[in-house]
Amino acid sequence: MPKLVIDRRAALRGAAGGLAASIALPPLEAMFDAHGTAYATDGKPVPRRFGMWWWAQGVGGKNDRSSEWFPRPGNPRPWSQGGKTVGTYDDEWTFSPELMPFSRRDLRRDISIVTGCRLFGWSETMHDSQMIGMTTGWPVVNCGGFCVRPSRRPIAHELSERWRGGGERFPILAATVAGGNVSGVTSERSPAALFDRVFGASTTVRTGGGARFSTASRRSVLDLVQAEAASLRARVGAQDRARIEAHLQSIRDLEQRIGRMTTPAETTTTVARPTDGPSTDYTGRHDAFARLMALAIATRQTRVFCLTLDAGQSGAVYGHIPGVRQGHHALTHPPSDDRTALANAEALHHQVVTWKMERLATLVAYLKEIPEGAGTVLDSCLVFAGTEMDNPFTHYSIHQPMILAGRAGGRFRTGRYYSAWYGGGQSYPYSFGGGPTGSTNQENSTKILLTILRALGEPDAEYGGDGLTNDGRNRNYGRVTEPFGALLA
Amino acid sequence: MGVRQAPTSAVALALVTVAGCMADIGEGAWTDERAAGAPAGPRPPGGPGTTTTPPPPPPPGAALFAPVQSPRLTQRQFVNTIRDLLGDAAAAVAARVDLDDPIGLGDHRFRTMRAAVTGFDDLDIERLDGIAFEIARAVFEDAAGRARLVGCTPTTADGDCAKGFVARLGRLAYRRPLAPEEIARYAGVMAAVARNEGGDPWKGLEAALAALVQSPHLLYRVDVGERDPQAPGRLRYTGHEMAGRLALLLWDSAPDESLLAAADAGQLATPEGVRQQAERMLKSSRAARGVAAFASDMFEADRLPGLEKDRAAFPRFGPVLAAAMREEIERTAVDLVLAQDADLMDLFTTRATYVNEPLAQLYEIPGVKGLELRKVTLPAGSPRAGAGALGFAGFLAVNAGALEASPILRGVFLNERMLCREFGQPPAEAMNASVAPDASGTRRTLRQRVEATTRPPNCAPCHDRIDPLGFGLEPFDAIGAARATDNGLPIDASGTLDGVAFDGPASLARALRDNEAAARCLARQLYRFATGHHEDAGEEPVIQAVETRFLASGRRARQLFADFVASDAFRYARAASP
Repeated sequence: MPKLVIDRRAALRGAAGGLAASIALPPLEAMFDAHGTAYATDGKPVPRRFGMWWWAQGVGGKNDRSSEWFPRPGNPRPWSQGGKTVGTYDDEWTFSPELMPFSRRDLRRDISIVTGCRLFGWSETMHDSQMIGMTTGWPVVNCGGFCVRPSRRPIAHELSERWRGGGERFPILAATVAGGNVSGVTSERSPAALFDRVFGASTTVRTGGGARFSTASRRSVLDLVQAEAASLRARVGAQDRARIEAHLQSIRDLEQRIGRMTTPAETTTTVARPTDGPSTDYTGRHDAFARLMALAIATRQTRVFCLTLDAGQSGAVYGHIPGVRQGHHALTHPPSDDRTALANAEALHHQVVTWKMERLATLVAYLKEIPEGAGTVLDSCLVFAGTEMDNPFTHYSIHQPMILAGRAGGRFRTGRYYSAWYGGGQSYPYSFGGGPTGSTNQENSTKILLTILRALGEPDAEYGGDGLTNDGRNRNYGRVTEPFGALLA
Repeated sequence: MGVRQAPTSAVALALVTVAGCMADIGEGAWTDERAAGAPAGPRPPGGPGTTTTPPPPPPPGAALFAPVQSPRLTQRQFVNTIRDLLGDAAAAVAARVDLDDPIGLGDHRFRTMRAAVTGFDDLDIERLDGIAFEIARAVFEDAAGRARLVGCTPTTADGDCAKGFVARLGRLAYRRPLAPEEIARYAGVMAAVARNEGGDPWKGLEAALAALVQSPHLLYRVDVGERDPQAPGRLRYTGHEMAGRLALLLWDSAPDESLLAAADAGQLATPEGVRQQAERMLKSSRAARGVAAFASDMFEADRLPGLEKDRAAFPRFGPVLAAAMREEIERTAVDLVLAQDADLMDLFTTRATYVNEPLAQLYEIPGVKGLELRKVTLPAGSPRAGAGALGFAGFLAVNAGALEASPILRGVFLNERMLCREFGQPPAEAMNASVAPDASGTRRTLRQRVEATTRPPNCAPCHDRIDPLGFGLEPFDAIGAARATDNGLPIDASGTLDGVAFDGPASLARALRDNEAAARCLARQLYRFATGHHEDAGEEPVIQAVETRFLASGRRARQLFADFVASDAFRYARAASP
């Protein structure tokens, strides 16, 4: 019988405590068909999966270090859509210094790089708004002072809700490494806790004191809680009703999870339970989360994951990088009149970004090293790695750096560098051109969200929403009607 | 003390807004407004550099009261509720569940604001289910405790004893009496579980408790309101809703039987009835939790546990010291409000505070031993003496970078939180400003570097208001320790607030204490905290009534709470969108 084989050495790597769980792998009873692309039992194709990976504060420095992340062009050619040149594509690009971690892991053919998109409108100004703009495509809701919140779900949450009920145990798994969270749902902060939730004990949901009760009794309790939520839903106003409805759905799903996967399956593997190091062991925590997310995808625990390395104005001190002593946000704001301090800050930030890219490359490599059917788990995935701005020294978000990994089951084109800047001339370093809301020679960053949806087989004809910008102009800054054709296979 | 000489590579400023806070997108089951039918409308006017308080007037006929909503309980409220219902051992179990996340700028100002727009999602629900069974086990494993709680011996799992247990405990948990059909539903589950578990009726009751603890009627403060016959345009809260609101605000927890009895008797329908209960509640030891929750949110003390500082510069900063900093803030506020019933503005100038040994060492107060905090009077000569809350190390550390203090963060905090003067987002181009001439290699104070950076004309409109207040706290470093010099140079902590000159923390604190806007702002912040929402302009009349009453009372601390809950602002609501 074909089995999913997870490299035992890889699965155990990083396990300090030696605790491990032998887990059943339900889909992998699941022999693949002769082509290795569909489950033989029901002929269904391997589902497409979505992963979100997020890092804070972009890539560039204020001066000439700006270009250390952007790929080195090889043979850029115009890309036309609807009879109009809308960007350039380049399949012969080479690695920039900050992207070298992907080279070292031989991932060039597994990723595509996207630049040149602009975050239009209100979302253009500050971290939180930018993050919301990038992940939702919709304007923010202002909640007083600096407080902003999204008006729509971030893309990871959106997909998890669309796919809820598809047979996976968890609609989404989310984790946070150094703080912040772009998933839209509560995230795990401890790799050990994520392990316990997904692979722990009997691979039922965490039981707590419920272990003293039979599954039937636990379901009776949840039935009661469901009935209570349903009665409450009928009483409250619209916004509260939506929250109670979500609450109710979560109870329903929990009830379904109870008792599942308790029977021995035909295939098992061993997953190591990670030991949580100090909260500042950012590398260890990230890589443990990345490993667990990859295994959760492979074992069909979920179709969606979100791993937030850091977000917004992160105060994390990446002290494992020599010379870094300040919080991440403060690091990128040296005094405006001190060129030496600026140069030092840029040099340190370059190392921080390189370390972040190393983490992303690690995640992608984990997905790639798990075989699935004729290929690897990465083949069915689309991982979107984004950040809220291109340049934290200026807070600009007019050249958004993005990395996408995986082929989404053959629908997404990898190995490509696509620049959505089609205004001619040198695209980087840049100037504001028509002002923060007035540029017309760039693509809207929401296009990447529509591209992702299309690649994952979603039917959306358009995505994102309009609203007023902070100067009252430009009503159309979120909504897009075309994906990046150059990235769809 | 503290860092004197920042290495050149790390002289960055925490510019503009926040360092040390983590942004997130509505963790905790933020609800998509599409599902709620709400428009994704434009943001309110107020672009770069504009002050957004007060907001522009809404259209004619718009609301006068905060909208009715059913917020979820915060982590603290959940744990306190379990404590009051089931005792300390159960509360210790409940405290293991993680329902909150640190709040940062760019997020909702108060936990209560976040609680009003977020729910519980899959992971929360799973955690709550697990912890509910653990709480029930902790209670029922102890035979004596179980007997005390239940008060009778159930012979059947759906008999009078069992149903009486559910009715009595459920009333406190739901903050209202249970309807007969609700009790019947519990009885059905208790009987089914007892059957499943070998006929043991106690198991039925234990499962009922696990259900009660995770019931949405406990987890949400259910506010719906009812039409007010006196004024059809507004809603009034029912008596039992008022009981829940009072308990969660003043005690950060569930109501007691007296409060529910007052609701049963219709006594919470009048301001007098509400005030009477509030005054009783403020005398209870439980009131310390309500005041502590407000103080903790006001000073963002919940950010302390996750705060990172440079380990080389601040080897003594860690979880123990951070916990003491947080407790100092909460206990000082509780003492002022409940024990002293002081002029609340004394918060800014009090010399009394609470320290334990690590915090006393930071404050250079000799003779304090152990980890238990105790009340001390700050010695004269300390820059903290007479600076009151402005000398809280926790506030100073949260509003600072990992290595250096941040006059900008502190200035934004004092403007926004203490004066209710909010700023719009900085202009997009602001961050690209460069200042000539190059000052590389020049030895300067942090103040001098900040002044150079915020000098450009597009920065000045806001920073002329932000920076001076932050400069007043320059005698404190990034963890709130006193420092006599900065980078080997004398510290300039002078400035003006609304025309009043100050030089250093104590005189800045006096300027705030005597500032009417600051006093009004404290009352306004209580309104925001209690309603879980940032006001619209239409609410100004009810808020200003609260402020005015506070000023007229001599700014008495305890009376602020009693007056506020008896005011229209707390007793009435506008209808939520249909």
